[in-house]
Amino acid sequence: MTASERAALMACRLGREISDSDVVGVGLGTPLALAAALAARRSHAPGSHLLVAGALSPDADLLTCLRGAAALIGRTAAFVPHILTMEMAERRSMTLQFLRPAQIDGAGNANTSRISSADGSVRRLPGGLATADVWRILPRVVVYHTDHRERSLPDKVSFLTGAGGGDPQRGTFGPTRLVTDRAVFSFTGDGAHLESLHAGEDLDELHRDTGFSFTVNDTVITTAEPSPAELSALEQVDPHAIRELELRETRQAAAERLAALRAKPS
Amino acid sequence: MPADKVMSPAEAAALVGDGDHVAVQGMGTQGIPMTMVRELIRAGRRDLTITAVVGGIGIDWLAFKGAMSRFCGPIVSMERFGMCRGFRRAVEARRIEFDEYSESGLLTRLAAGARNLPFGITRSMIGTDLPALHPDTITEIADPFTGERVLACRSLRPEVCLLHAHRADRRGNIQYDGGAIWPDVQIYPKASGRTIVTVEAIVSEEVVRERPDQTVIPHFAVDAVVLAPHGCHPTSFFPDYVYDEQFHSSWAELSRDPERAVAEIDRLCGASSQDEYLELIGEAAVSETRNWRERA
Repeated sequence: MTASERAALMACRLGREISDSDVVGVGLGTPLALAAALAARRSHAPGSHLLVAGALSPDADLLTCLRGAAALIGRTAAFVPHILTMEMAERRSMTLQFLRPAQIDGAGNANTSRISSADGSVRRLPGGLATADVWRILPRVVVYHTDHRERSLPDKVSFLTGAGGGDPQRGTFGPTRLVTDRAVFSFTGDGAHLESLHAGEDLDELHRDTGFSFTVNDTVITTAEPSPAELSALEQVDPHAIRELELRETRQAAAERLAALRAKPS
Repeated sequence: MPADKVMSPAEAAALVGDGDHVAVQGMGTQGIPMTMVRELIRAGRRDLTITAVVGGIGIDWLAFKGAMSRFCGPIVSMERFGMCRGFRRAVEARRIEFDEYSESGLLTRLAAGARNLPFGITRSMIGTDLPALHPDTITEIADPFTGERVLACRSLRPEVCLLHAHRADRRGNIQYDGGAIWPDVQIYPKASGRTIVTVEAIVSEEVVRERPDQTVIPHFAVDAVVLAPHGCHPTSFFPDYVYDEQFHSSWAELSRDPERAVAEIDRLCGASSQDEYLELIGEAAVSETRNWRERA
């Protein structure tokens, strides 16, 4: 599988998390998840609602969304003030958020803050924004990582920006699923469980490259390939594959495509 | 004659002291009052604590120039343009302390400050490592009615806040077109001791009175009004202009080299007025971010 195919597979797999009843929040810093949510509305979940850059379910492609709120005038019926989206999360009228933390462990804990080394030095990450908030108060969080290796998926994150497990007494579950560029996991109260391996991946190698332990069914299934309908929806919302900004191998080429498109907005 | 609050950027910067806690409007690539950020750098301010909901390029410039010693907030990022490298370097070298709260944690502290309450509560951050960073401002308590565990967040009152708005009259009635879509615009002036607002235009009070519903901050809550057309550049200002993509891309690359980065900040902060700054960045940058739709 090429890196481009992996990006498309991840976007389609993330999109399958969305159903018609969902109100989904996605940030501008995660174009892969944004492509997934925009495509889901054009394929299997037309009744879902999407909040991006404050706009409610904009009739726009990925590129236009990435330009921010001003670019979405005329393409949405409403802007939801950011502070109200936090209130929506508190009362669970937003149901699902996609996030890509720097590190995630087998208990669904996330680190977007800092990575400490044995020598006492600290690698600073951007910070969690609402990670500590939505991890606990949203009904469901789906996380993803585009660089599946031990450093990204450790046994235990070096700093807890978001605590896994949610708040079951209040009916919130934190991260329920992790989609990487190599596999899909679910999080249960007992830890991580391998749901499927992407085509061409080897289970022993996956164990070696995953810091946390995970359970496996007797028969490991392969992640379903994107359907023609899913790929068609993805092509409609992201014809220039800007989603590939998030994969190391494809980042540079995607950035160059984006720069070339700068002068002619869609 | 009511007080005239219109002043130059330099006069407004004099309302900010070394060591002040400054709340800066903006989210990543959106709505950062860059004219005043540049002016604080020009004025050589030091030891500032900066609060932002999403710190962007303005925080990077303040960090590169050694103007700040602490960031109090949830994230510093230029979104798809990546991390702010000067800020990151300064935090890793311990020249800047990153006093990290979750978004709800920060907004809860500010909301309590805005209402002059001792603290606010949130369900956020429970179970994470964030509360332990703040023994003086975050503590777990029981809801006195149900016993549910929640976090008490001590109120936050920054000395000063910097905002950008669409227009104001000379008395300081601040108007935004449409709804103010950012959380900080509603909360900073209420929580902060002084409020400095740059605006796209200064209009007569008669013009303000035609749409009093658009006055988001009344004059008595405002200390300074500064004229700064295109004053958020290179960030966006809804709905007038989008962020400058080329500028951000260039900065993301250039800021890998601290010497070049500082030289570029010095060049741009060398502009003695907003007009001079707009000349430096060029007419094309202004028109492209304002009129990008027409170029489709």
